[in-house]
Amino acid sequence: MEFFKSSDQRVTVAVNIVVVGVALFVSLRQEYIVKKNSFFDELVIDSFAPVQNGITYVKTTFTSIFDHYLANVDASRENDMLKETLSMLERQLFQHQELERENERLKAFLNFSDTVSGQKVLAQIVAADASSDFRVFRINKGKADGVTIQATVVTFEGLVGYVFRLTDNFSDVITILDSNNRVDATISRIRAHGIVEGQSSNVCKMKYISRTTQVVLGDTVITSGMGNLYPKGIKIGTISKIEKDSSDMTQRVLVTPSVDFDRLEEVIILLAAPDAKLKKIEWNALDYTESIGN
Amino acid sequence: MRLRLQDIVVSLFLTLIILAVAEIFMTTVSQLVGLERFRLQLNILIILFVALKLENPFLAIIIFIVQYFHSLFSIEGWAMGTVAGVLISVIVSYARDIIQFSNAVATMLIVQISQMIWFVIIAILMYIRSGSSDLVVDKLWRFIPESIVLSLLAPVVFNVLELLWKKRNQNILGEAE
Repeated sequence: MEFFKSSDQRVTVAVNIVVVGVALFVSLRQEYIVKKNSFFDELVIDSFAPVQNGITYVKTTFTSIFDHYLANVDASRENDMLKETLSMLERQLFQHQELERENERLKAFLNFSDTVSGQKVLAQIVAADASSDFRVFRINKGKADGVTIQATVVTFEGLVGYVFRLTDNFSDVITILDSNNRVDATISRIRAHGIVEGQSSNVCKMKYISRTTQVVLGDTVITSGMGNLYPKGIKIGTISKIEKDSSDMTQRVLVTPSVDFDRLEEVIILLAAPDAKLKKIEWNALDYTESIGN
Repeated sequence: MRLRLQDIVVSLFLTLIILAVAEIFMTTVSQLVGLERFRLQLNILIILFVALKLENPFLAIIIFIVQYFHSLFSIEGWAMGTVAGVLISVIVSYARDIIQFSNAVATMLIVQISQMIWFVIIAILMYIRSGSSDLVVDKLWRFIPESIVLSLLAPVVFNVLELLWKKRNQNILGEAE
């Protein structure tokens, strides 16, 4: 064939076929759950991420000077501190209420704590994802600080997401707003179970809620602890919209996250995974309780 | 613009530096100027430049390298953009004679059309992978303003990239192509 007369053309076609073939295979199998880095990836990220960190620091300082000095001396800073304290107290109160409900139900004889235990690390957000398709950000803590892959990321207000990618000094966090992040969740009031998935830049959807489940606006959604990813009892958000389609077996529920992602600057990474021995004790206790009830 | 393999390396390295600067800007400072939901992806413009303006059997490798570098700043990955870029370069190879970058408006128009082809390819891959059209529709609303701005920037960016690739790749007769 005349097209393949030139060696350049033959090489071009061969290279294109190989590259497109490999890329298609990778793209169709790609799942945004975790990403393991190669040595080169870590080298480049650890080289450029400090620049992102520095620019973000300058940006934050500039906006802080504007907010706290030029705009409103002192009052703004005090207001921020009080809001943070209030959020922390609200979270503690919410956790205590969850503890009460759990104990009333079936764990009176087991000293089971629902609060999030283990070590925590505070991190600053240094950059967002370079693509607008993903709700991911980069933080300035990594392996050197004890962060592990799929570590839970929270704030005092609630669940943020988990660590998707990790280098020595930086991590990429995939938030609950991202459609690739699925959280096993429970509606706190009625204990109905579902999956929370990112929908848009400011709302999530909760799937697999049956039509007969009596969900109301304002219901709190928390992590269920199933799936070995997120600890139990972390607040995700509140139900902001309910739609029922007569032809559908489930109802469409939208959840507004309790975390204000537009103003998020700092996050907390939970370092300790649930203790495997404690988990075994919990499951044994549940089995014993059921046998007593029978 | 025909390239020799040995001349590609330095030009590509400088292009990746420009891409890194753009990515750092978009991921850090863009929120200050109100771009909370939108990102201008310079990797798309670079790949379109490579596909539209350069001629070399190893274009696909260049496109892969640019996308791989972009994937270090995004969890998007390198694969989908590589497929789109290579397919566009194949389409362009058949239409090269009728594509004329005669002025800035022509450049913007060609880049906008190329971005639309890019979007269609990415949308098909996204739909096959996720099975959800919601994601594709959501992407479409962001694609429209992002692509328009990229098209407006294209003449300037292409001029810069031509300086990087053209000056270093003059042919053996000493004339730039």
